[in-house]
Amino acid sequence: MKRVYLVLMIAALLLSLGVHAQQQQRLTLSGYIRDASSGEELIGATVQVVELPGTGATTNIYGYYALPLPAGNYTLRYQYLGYQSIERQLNLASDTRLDIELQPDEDQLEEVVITGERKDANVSEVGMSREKLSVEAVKKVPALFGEVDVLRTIQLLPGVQTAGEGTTGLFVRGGAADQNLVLLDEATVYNASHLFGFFSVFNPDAIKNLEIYKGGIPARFGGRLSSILDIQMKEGNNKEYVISGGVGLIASRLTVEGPIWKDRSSFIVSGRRTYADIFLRLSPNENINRNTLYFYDFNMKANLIMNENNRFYVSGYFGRDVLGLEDFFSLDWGNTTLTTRWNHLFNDRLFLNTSLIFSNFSYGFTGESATTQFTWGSTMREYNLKSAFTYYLNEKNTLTFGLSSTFRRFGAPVINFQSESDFEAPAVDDRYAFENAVYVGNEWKASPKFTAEYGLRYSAFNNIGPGSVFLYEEGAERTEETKAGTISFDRFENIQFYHGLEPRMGLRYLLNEQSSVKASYNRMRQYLQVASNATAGLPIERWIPADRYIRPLIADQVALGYFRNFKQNTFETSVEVYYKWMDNLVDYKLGDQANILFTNNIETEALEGKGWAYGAEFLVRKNIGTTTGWIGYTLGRTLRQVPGINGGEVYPARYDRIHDLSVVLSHELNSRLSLSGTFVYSTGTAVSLPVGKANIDGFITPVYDDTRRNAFRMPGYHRLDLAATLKNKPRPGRRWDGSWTFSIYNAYARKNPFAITFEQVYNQDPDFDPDEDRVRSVDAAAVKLYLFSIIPSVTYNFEIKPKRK
Amino acid sequence: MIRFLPIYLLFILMLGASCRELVTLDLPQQEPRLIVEGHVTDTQGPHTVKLSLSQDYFSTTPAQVVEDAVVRISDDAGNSEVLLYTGSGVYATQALQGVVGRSYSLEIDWRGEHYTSSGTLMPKGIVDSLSVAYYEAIPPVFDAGYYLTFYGKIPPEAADFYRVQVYENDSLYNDRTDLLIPDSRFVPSTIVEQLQYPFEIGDTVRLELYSLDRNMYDYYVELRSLLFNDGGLFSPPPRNPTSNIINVSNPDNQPLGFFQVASFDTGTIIIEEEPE
Repeated sequence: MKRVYLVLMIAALLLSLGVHAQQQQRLTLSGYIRDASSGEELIGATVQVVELPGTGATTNIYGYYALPLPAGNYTLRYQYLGYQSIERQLNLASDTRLDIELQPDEDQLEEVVITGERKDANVSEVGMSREKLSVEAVKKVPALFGEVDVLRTIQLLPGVQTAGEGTTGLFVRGGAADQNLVLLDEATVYNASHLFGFFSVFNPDAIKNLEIYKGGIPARFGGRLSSILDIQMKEGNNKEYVISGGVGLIASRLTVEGPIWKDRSSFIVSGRRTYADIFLRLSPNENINRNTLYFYDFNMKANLIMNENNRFYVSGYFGRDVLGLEDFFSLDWGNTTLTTRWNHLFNDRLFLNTSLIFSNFSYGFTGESATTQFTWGSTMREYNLKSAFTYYLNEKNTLTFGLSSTFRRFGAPVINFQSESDFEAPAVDDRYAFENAVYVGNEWKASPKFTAEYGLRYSAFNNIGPGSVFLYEEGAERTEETKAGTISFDRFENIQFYHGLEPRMGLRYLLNEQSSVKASYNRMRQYLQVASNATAGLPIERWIPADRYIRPLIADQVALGYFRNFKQNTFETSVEVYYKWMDNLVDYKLGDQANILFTNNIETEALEGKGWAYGAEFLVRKNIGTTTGWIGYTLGRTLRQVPGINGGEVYPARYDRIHDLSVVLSHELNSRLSLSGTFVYSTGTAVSLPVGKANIDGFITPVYDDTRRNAFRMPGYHRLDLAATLKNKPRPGRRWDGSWTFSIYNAYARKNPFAITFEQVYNQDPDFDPDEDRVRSVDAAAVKLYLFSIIPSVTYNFEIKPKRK
Repeated sequence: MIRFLPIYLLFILMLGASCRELVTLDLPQQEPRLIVEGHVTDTQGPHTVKLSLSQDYFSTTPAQVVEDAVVRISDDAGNSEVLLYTGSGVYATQALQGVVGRSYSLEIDWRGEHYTSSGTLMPKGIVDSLSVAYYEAIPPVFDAGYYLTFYGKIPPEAADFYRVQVYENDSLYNDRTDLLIPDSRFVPSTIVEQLQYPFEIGDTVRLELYSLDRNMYDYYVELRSLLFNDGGLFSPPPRNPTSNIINVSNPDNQPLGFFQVASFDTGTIIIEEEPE
């Protein structure tokens, strides 16, 4: 705990240093920076004062910038990668509003724009352990079945791991999949996967920008231990109508965007649907053609610039997966989010965004047999009100402060039986919680060389009624047998209260124009988690709040980094080392999932322990030129220690990867043809392997050493993907732009193990069914399941624009 | 009973892109561990305890059996008996009877270590009736054929936990999918369960309903979880089922297996043409 107090003291000291504001006459230059062709706000665009090196501002996620300056004559340089820079002369005599539109750089448009910000951002920004990706960069990466996927691309960044080939779950610096806060226009997306994780819910055509924070997390974010994935949807073109879309092997997309009120209001509507089931239906095989399997996504967003100082946004997402096996069973699940936002400028220096957010995740399952019919469903729901202020105090200090209030309903699995048996479905209670947070942070440009970003977040959590808490005999292990009563709570009555401070800090020291060192610390508190002891999630996952017995998760992370750019910022390199401590991690005793899903007293199954992760991340990135891409390498460990598991000894997490390498390259051969490739290698998954077998009651079972959990490794994972994109001939005034993308997933057809199971196999055939035919032999065997061999695919993308003048 | 369908496997099956193949791995090894399979039922006996040893996972030789142990079963009515070794690792009682309501304890002495366990013969659940109906196929999960539905009655004083074993023409269905363990905490008085596989005309099907205590039931739940384990991706990390037998002398050398004290009821049906 000492490490926390130390950082607290440092933070308090810095806070007092930063806020001694110089009361000299200050004027403010402010405005929005937008794309001249679509009117989309540019996030992270910069304005620099040529006469005052080191003085400048960056647009926030709404495209707004503010720069306090003394009165005077200035040359202002507006920049955004992939856009033509603009210089403006300005005689600043009063507070000035200057909205700027930047023209996309037609020469550079054909190139990858990996990050949209100032060219030396890697070195000069105070933030570390964060990565920005533009959707254009994501679209360059070869994709499984040709379906461009933002989460799969994020998995290619250092420090981010996957649970297995077909999964979109993120494991960031040793954190579990439920320790990432995935935000789509600020709304929490509780389950970001389609088709059990093969695809993510983010339709790339509707996404503008994404950023992942692996560490050094600013005070305005909170609620999860390991990462924040902040995704913004496009606003929609406010100048002209554009229709775009794509036809792929398994899915098609269509997006319509345009002005509602030119330059003031725009909309975007985007949809995507897979049609695997349409192919299934075409199949003459009755085994296949009567089944259902598809997902769809629907994104919409509209915004209105009411006047200079007020702007409104409404955005929503609705997506669902549907899987059906005739009438025998069906399963569907999906997310709904709705975000309404109001940007308000009190004055040029005080910016406020207020958001009212709704988020919902639900699943439903129906099953039917001759004697039984049942339905089973659950809903997780969240209402969130957030206010976030940015105060551009002076050219040295930018203050952020705000509050957030969240109400969550953790819907219990609701089961209905219709059966000849007089089944009684297990009755599990819904649970409720309030989470509130206030924060204040400051970015302090102390000197041209030294910048600090520091802040403090205070979060408070109430598990509230209606609900009940079981009591257990004092000092005894919590089991069904030691139950000693129940306390019931009324609606909104406090069941359990937790709260705590979360200090955050980031420091940057510029060694010279090309290099800097950075350090960061953050503490995170997480008041809800997925109750599961599996690594990858199924859509039937159950979220639970912290309660009388399950304490909030807490993590502390420190990171140090060295950043250096080469050749006029053409190459960006960085090395970061991190160490993360995680407390109050929960694992489960026996692990029959039903015991975890259908219980009111999960505390009898839960075990509490700790975890830690450390490692080094290396990144080389090239953002400019005909060849772009990155090479990322992570050397790291992720360890756990939970009394009652593995004999109380330390064991690696399943997703502990010692080595993890990603190479992502893209090359423009000419203005029409581009090639790209991805290579990944990672150490094999940490698994428990049997140390023997036992023939018990006619079952051949593997025997495990219960003190060697995850002590062994699956074979290493590696894969090469390739893609080529061919655009149609550029012709001025062309209304229809099209491109073909051909891709090959797993180009050398490696059979990477998805899972290795130890089971009894008949007649040396892992798919042999003993009910079907004569059994000649029964053996204990290891069966490798691999998902994909080589998968070629083709996608056609198009964009229709009004005739150019 | 809600059983967890391996949904993801089904999906992968439908996708048709995945494949399974046998692999040989260099697996770690461990000293052989004692395996106990003990059964006491509500019959005259003989009740048996089989002792064998675990082997290397890929071993192709028959499992070694333990022939030199001393095995004793006692009940709470003052009866006690040392079991007689009958060969193939099996030790059998000669006089001890299984009586509903009595508790039985097991003691094994082998190589200087002492193992114990106990269990109670619970009042039994009743196999009320068996019925058969013909169903068309529901591909790819169900084939066409005669499906057996089993009706069980659970008296109020009977056990809460059951295991069903199915024999077709005297051969036991013993694949991992045949580990049927309905949990009657959700079933106050009757069980209706349809077997998930079809039979043919002329088959003789015998069904046995074993009444278990909680520990034994949990053992089977964990065994089933282990048999279906995917190595920890979608399922929990694999672990040995918790045995209800304890090595008292050496806590670091716990045995595998179980001592099942269970009453049972049985029902038989011969599959015939459905009367129109």
